[in-house]
Amino acid sequence: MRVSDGMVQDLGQRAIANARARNATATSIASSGMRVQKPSDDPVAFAIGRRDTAREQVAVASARTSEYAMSVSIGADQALAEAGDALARARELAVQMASGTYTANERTFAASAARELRLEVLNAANREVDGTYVFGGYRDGAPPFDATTGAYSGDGLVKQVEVAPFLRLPVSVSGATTFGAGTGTDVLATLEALATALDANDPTAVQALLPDIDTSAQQINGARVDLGGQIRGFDVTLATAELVKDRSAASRAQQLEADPYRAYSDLVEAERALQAAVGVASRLPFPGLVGGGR
Amino acid sequence: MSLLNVGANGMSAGTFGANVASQGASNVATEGYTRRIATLAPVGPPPAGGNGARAVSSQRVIDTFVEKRVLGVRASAGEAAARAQALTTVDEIFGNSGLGVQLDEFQAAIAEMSTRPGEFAPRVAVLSTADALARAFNEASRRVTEARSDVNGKLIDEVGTINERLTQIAQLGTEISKAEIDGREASDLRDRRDQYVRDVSSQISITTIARDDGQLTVLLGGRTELVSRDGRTNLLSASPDPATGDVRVTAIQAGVSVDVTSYAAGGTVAGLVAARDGALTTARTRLDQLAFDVANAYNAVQSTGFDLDAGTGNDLFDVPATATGAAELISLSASVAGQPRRLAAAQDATALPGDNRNALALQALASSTTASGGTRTASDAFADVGTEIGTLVRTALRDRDYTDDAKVQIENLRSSISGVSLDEEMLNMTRYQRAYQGSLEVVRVADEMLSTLLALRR
Repeated sequence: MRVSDGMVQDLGQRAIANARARNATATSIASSGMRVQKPSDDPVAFAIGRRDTAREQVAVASARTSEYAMSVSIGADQALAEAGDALARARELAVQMASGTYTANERTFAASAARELRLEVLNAANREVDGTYVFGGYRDGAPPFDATTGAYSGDGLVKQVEVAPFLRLPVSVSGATTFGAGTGTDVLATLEALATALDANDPTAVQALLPDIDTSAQQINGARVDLGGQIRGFDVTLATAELVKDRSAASRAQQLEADPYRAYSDLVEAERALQAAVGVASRLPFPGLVGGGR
Repeated sequence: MSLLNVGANGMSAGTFGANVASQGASNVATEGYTRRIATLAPVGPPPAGGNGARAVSSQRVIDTFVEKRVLGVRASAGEAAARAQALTTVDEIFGNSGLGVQLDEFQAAIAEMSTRPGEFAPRVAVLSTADALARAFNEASRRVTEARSDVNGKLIDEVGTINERLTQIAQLGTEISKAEIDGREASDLRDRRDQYVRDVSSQISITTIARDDGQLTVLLGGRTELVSRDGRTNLLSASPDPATGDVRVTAIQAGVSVDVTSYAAGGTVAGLVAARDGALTTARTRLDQLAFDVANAYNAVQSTGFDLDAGTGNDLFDVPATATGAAELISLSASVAGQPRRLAAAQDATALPGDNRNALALQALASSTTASGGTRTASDAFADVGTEIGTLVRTALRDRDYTDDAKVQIENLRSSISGVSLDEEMLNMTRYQRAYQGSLEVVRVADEMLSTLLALRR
């Protein structure tokens, strides 16, 4: 093939232009650490990376929600543990005072102890965790149990949170069911009745309250079992969210990020190619590299 | 005396040849210069042994078949390069920052609000991320619109340049015709005209028909005469379509202005139109649909819930009634802007502020197929758009590289035929210099012979 001077010059120019473009790409990848910076770099990897990023964000939110829900459930469990302790002491008190060996004064003294225990249970039933009253259901902005009458103003429902896409779990337990507001045995009313019976120095009435105290304790313990399950559930969802987050981040990195060793190696190679292209061009017969001459 | 004539003719022919060779050498870097070869011929018939050599002409060395292929390949390369360049900006819109990130942050803020519906901070975060999301749509739409506007502006510029070059082609055709009728050399004029033709072919796909009289007919799409055989030009026009605002290219055909935009199968004009009516339109449509789908999905849930003041019926986004222009016009609804309490997290107005059920419904939208006709989540739909646009851009970039390679190959072929080689020209100069020296020797010998003859008479 006949070779014109223009062909030789174009060859030199083109080699330098290609080497420069390759060098620019290698520099960009090495300096940013990103193999895919825009969709056209690798459309499929971009889509996978985008979905991984979205999945990671969802996992981060899920983890945060699980942590929040777990803290609420643990707070509720602690409250119920305190209520359970109070009921256990109330039962001991009732068993003791049902005996005919105690005087009226001693029962009056025991009545005030019973009222203290009721107050402990009331405080547990009105437990606030992280700004919410955990036994109020959705009406969790105010104490659900009236301090004087014990009347329940919550909605009796159990609040839920979304701990993963399409997975909603309850947080806490129903205040109405647990403390017997309108259903089951009314825990606060039972303790009030105990105090009243003690005030009245009526061991028979005290004796008669023992089944209600036992039922109350069972309600509380049953709720704690539910809460234990919830806490374990949140533990699992938290661990799952962390796992999804890590895997999504790893997958995204694999799709979008550059292997630093390879990026550096490509950069060195591109720099050498550029040096070679410039070196070859400098040996061309023309001193200038302007084109033409075709 | 005849010997002197032989020498004189030979010297003249040698000078001519050296002149042609030196012209080639000095134009080695001239764009569009076609190498020439000097054609010499013997002078005078025998029996006197002839009358030396004479310069016949300097001929341009071209291959018309290759020249036509150059036009086609340049059109393809021009189309692909223009398309790739026009799509570079739209590719970046869907990069790893911006809209996708805002969508994620908005959904994360709603998730946070669903756990703490009564608190102020998560509500503020939802409003600020919703506003940022709307602005990200606006910005993406603005950049697509800007890219389209750039394309339309470039189309007008391209048509202006094409018309200038067509005018030059027509004028040069007339000059070539006159020069050749007068028997003058027109190689330089032909070189200039060919260069204009090659330049126009990079801008818009043309075909040419060379006429015997030196004129050149230039056709667009094989049917519309842009330069006629008598040297008249039919210039193109570029103006925005009143309905769409998109620039259309028109030409006069049979006295009527005809839209010839689609005739441009190659060249920069075709590339710009393909980018505008292809990927840029796709990007705009997809962005509009995504903005429309996202806004309506969240509005539908937000408007049915109750805010902290038991109010209801407020949208989260203001968006047009149809998808057209939704990405450009979407904004945080005026009914909630700056009023975090207006976010409807509750489904029960009597369970405020703790009721998070409507917030959960809002949160669920992140995982629900609310986009692309109810088939994709918003995040997936965004990834789909990015993939679609990315693939179009990647295809354009590959086309550019392939056609550029093809262009280099055909231009190398052309250069191997018509390009100047300094080595050759130097050899030619030496050859003609020798021929000149030989002729000079003839003159010297003739002179000696004459001197001898004159001495005999003395």
